[in-house]
Amino acid sequence: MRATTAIALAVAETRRARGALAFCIGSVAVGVFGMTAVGAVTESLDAGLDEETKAVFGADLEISSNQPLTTSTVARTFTQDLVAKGARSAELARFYSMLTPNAGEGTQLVRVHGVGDGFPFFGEIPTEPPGAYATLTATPSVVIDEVTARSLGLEVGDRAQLGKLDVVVVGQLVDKAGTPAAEFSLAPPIYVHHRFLEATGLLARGSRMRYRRMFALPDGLDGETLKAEHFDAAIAEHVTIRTSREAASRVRRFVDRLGAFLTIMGLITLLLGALGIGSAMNAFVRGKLDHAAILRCVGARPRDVFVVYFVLAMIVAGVGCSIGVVCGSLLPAMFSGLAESIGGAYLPTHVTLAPSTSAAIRAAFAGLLATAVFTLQPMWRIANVKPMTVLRRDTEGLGALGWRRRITSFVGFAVAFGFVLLLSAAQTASLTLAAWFTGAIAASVVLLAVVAWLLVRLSKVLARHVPSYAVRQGIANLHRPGNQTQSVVVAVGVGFLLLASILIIQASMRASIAIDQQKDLPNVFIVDIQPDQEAEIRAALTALDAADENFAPMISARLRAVDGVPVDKSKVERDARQRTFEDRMTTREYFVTYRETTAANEEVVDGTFWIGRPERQEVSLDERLAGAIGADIGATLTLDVQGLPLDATVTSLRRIRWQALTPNALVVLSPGDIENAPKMFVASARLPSADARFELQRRLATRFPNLSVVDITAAAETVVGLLEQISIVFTALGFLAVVTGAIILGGAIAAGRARREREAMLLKVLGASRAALRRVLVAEYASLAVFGVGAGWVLAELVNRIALPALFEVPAVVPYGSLVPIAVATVTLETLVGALIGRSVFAKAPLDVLRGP
Amino acid sequence: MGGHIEVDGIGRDYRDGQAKLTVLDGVDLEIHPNEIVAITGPSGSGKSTLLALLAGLDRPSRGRVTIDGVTITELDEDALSRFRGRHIGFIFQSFQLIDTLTAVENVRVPAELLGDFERAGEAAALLERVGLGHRLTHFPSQLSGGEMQRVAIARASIVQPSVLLADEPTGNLDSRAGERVLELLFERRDTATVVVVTHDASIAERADREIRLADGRIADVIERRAS
Repeated sequence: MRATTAIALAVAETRRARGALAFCIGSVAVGVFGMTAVGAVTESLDAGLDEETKAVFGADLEISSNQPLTTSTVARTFTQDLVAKGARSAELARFYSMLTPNAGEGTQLVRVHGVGDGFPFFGEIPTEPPGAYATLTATPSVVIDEVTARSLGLEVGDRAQLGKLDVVVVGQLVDKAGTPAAEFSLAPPIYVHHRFLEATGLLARGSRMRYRRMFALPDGLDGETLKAEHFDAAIAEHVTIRTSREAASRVRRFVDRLGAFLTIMGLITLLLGALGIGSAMNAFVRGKLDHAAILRCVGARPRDVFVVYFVLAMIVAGVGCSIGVVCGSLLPAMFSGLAESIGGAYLPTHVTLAPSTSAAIRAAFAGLLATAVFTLQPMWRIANVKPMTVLRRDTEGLGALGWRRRITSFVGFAVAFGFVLLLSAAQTASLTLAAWFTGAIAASVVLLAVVAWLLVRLSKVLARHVPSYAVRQGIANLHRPGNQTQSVVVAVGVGFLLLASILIIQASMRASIAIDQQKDLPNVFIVDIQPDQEAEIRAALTALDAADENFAPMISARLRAVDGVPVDKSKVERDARQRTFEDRMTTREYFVTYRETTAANEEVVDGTFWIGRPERQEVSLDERLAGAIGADIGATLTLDVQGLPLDATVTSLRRIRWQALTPNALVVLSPGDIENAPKMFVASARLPSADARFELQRRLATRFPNLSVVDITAAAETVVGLLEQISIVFTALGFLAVVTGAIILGGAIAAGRARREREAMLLKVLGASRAALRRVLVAEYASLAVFGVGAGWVLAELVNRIALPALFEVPAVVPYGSLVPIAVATVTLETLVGALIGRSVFAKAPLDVLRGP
Repeated sequence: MGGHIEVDGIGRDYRDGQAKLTVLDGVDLEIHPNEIVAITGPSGSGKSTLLALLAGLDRPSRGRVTIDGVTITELDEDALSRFRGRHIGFIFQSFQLIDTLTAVENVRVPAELLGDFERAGEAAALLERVGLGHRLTHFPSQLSGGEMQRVAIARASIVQPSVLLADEPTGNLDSRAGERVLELLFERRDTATVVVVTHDASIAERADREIRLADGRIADVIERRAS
């Protein structure tokens, strides 16, 4: 058969079916829309990071360490090498401290950036008044940000204390995005000139100092090559070399993960759309069996019939994809300001939401492919229609029977899930994530199908006892052959499952972060407590009625060897953006602690934790760390404690509940020689009020300016703010999924309209009034929606109640207050859609319908 | 030139659960080129089943059907479709037009499926000849029963098949429309062998030969005129 014939026949099949096909188009359009929009958002985030990372970094290359760089051989060699090659350099230091205004109340934890001349080499640090940053070198002065200015009531010209240094505020940062001030931190940044750091008195006692030297390279000198030349020597000396490409690597990892999750959400909307078109096409081709049989009678081969309907599906998908791509591309352009509201304000670079051609092409291609895969089964079935159907209506029109149909169904599902696996692997660039995603989708669909099947069966039994004829008939209609009940319930269910899960996760996370409402959690953290400060801080806490005080000694150490085998750092990923958990565990500096017993926020999962002070040196590891470094019970761990080796036997593995917000460490040692190592303390406590926390910060900042006193409630608010902004996108996608469910329901109803009309007219002839018919239809659609929403809800509660505690150690909080109205609204929407689509049933005269074609 | 049909011991069984239902059994038959044959018999005697087997719409449980030397019961699905498209025209009691295609489009379909666009181009002329030149772009739902059956005859004739099979072609028509349809159908004997399944004795009487079926077997053969 010629292509033109196939196209002409396919186009002809769209006549008189445009209503039903509009739903197929709608299904695909919504799915492709979601995927295009999500692709545009994630690419915009990436593009923002790519374009401005150099400006955020402020240099080409950085060498940094927790120790002064003057003590590092590699740092000296590296610097000499670069300077000899014509590079410019600037000294930087970064640490946390408290800033206290000379006049007025309050104190604020800040991230201090001590900046040397020349930095930043690229971009600028804009201030109000303009040029204030450039004046830092002249006098002891600071540039603060808006948060600090607001919380401390500081204005330009005001004076404040930074450690022992009296500083004047010379300016305020404006539009931090795209500048070195933009790196995400729970403490706001302030800038001071590097040459005044000594005078703050904080360098001597601060243990959380990062010493940095930044370089601007002359043309022709490649930062990556220089890094590669010195990487091994640097890692051996615990010195980090980073290029501008690796700037904001944590943010990038976060954005990558966010992008992966968004992509998965986009995929779900696409798959729902594909399920929609598959289901609608299934119903559609059932109504076209006679056409297919006629074609077979006049000489069409099964493959000809397949091609005709496949072309039809592709035409529908093509139109749907085009609409989806256009709308999905327009959305970011129309709402470019939305970037700030969906987490963009927390990113270090400017984000401009813009349409993405590659995302549009990917989404359109995926939409066409998904349609092809999900309509394969109905196409195959119609292609194998028996020509005999035209003579005998009772002939089984659909080709396969019994076990053959089961096998083709199974093959169809296998192909569909194989496609989901491939598509998700291509989209997320992670086979593991794709496998989890596909498994979760498969499990959800199967579970939803089972729940839906049970609900429908149950309704059949219960309906017998319902006195209303309309409800009985409506529910009975669910069992009508070819009614797509199962797939509609699954589609509606998947949509609601997704939305309900998003709301449950959101509520659970919010509840777990809402420190003030959790009476057993600490709300203040004090970091960098020196041994001689401990007693006075304990006294200050007691004076302010603090509860649950918890002090833990912290000693910085590195991993040197496991069972005598030195840690192999040669395989560590050189690009900081790509580093795995294992990479970070083998190269990082740990804060290790020591104590005589287990802590309340941990659970021993293997081995036995010592009690008291064992004779030999024992160590207990976080179970994930143990896995990453390959240290099991009985292994000997060699730590490098500030230059001295310390051997310890691993005697237990722990699972730490960090959410308890009390100090803990991945590596816990038994007390002994380690107690003599230089250390600081970290403390947590619960203070009775915001005033008490404020007072503690004020007292300690004045007395011990080296301390970082973190009000966790305030920090949690920042995290909640970020989460809530991000969740806007997820919730929007959840609603999109629910809308897709409604479209699928509408599609199934529209596709089966002819059969429904005949049934309704039969009832009319038998004496049913229009009102009674309307009640029957409403009862049917409402039942479909209730079953779908019910199945989705049951599954959402089940999955989240199991998964949230297991994966995140967060109890599931179900926000019934928002779920109930959304469920009611969903059922209403879907019933209305059904009633609207089905209303033509009432418009026809019985004779028109019953006489038939 | 009409088709030569040879039927050799065909039978057709259906399964109804565990039970086997034989609707046609041991039918031997030869139909000569350009002959008009009427197949008659009471309901359930196997008339339509025999016609479907002759057209290759269904497969016999046993026996074989040969048309112009081609044993169609041995052809695979694709070859059978091709053979049907090229050599057999079928006219149904309920017309079986595709309701989303116009009259002329319906007529063109068999030729287009064969890739014979020259013949497809004759569809309008063919409709003119059956008196439907003014109805070319009408959809089936806009035509009367008699008109729909004339479109069906035009469609069955477009590729000039050697065999025309008709299942109760006037069953849904009034007598005037039925008469017109029969005229058109029997006109085709110049180029095709015509086999008509009918309950109508007046139609059977106009055939060259009447084959009466009863209980799935040939009960009687009445020669009306030499072919």
